[in-house]
Amino acid sequence: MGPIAKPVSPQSADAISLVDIACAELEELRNNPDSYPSFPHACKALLLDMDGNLKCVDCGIQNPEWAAVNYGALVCINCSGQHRSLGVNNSKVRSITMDHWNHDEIVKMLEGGNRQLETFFDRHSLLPTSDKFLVPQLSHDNISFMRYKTKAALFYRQHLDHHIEDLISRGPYKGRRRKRRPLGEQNKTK
Amino acid sequence: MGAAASTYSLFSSVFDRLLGGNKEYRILMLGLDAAGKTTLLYRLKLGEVEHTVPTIGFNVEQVQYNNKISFVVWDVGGQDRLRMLWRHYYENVQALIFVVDSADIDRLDVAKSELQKLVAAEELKDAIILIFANKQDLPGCVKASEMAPKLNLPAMKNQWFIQPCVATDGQGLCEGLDWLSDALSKTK
Repeated sequence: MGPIAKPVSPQSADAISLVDIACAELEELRNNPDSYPSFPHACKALLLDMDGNLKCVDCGIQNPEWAAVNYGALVCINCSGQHRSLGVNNSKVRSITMDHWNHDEIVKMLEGGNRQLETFFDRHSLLPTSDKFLVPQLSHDNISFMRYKTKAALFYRQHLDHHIEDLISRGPYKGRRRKRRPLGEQNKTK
Repeated sequence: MGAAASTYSLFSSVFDRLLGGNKEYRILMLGLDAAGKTTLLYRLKLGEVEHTVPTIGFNVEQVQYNNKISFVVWDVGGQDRLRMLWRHYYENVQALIFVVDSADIDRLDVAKSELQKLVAAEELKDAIILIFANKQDLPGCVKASEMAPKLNLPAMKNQWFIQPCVATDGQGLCEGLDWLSDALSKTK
């Protein structure tokens, strides 16, 4: 038997190449803004690999296939209906499988993520479990509906918007910065 | 008994037609995703709004209007990749209801080009077109009068009409259907 190869972490090797492929897909899209394709494969793999993205951010159902693009979050088809009723200025809904995507929308999804939004909602006591929602008359649907109409949610949308704008103006997307701190904490330390 | 019932319904429908009453029209309702097609359909059918989810495939309902006109309305999903299926519904359609989200200003251009593809289709060349400028209650929405040129409606050869509406509370729907039934009754 030959020498045993040094164990490398296959996961991190895969993750790096996946980011590279995803960035190449995005660069292609950036250069052909009219191509307007389905959600690219590597980008999709990267999206589903993000923290919290295997569950609907509103109700927790597994494998959500719809996106609330303004929040960079994934939701199930049922909750996507709630988002659509908020109006497109508040929440723009796209299907991961059935819609066409442009460069900026995909970057937004890769820079957002369900965990990040949940952390943000948690800090603003806007999780469905928070005290202010302990009102028996409120159904679960009402809660997800209400929290997106808050000033906090508006702040999150605008912040994500500015972040994406800034990121895109700096050139080709290079993947998510490691150990990025949640949105609010960045402000605190500045 | 079944035979008697069907003979009766055949007879009565022929009779109705002779009297010019209760005609049935096949209507196709299209528009971009999240324009409000399904909400509009169920508002017409049930008079109330259900919590809707994106339509994968289609909904079809018979809608009786003013006891004299009956529409069979086909509401087909509007997601990007579902739009290529629209053409399978064109056949024998007398009228098209095209629903636009008046607050989705970024995608008015997309709505315009989808509408242009529709009117270019041979099967729809005689179809009457009712455009619903929906979601007029949302801040920053485009008014129906401003929308007509943005959708390039004046250049359309088909007979058309644009009606502002709010599908969730029913505002403007009757006015739109009044025009539609009037226009349909004048054909042929």
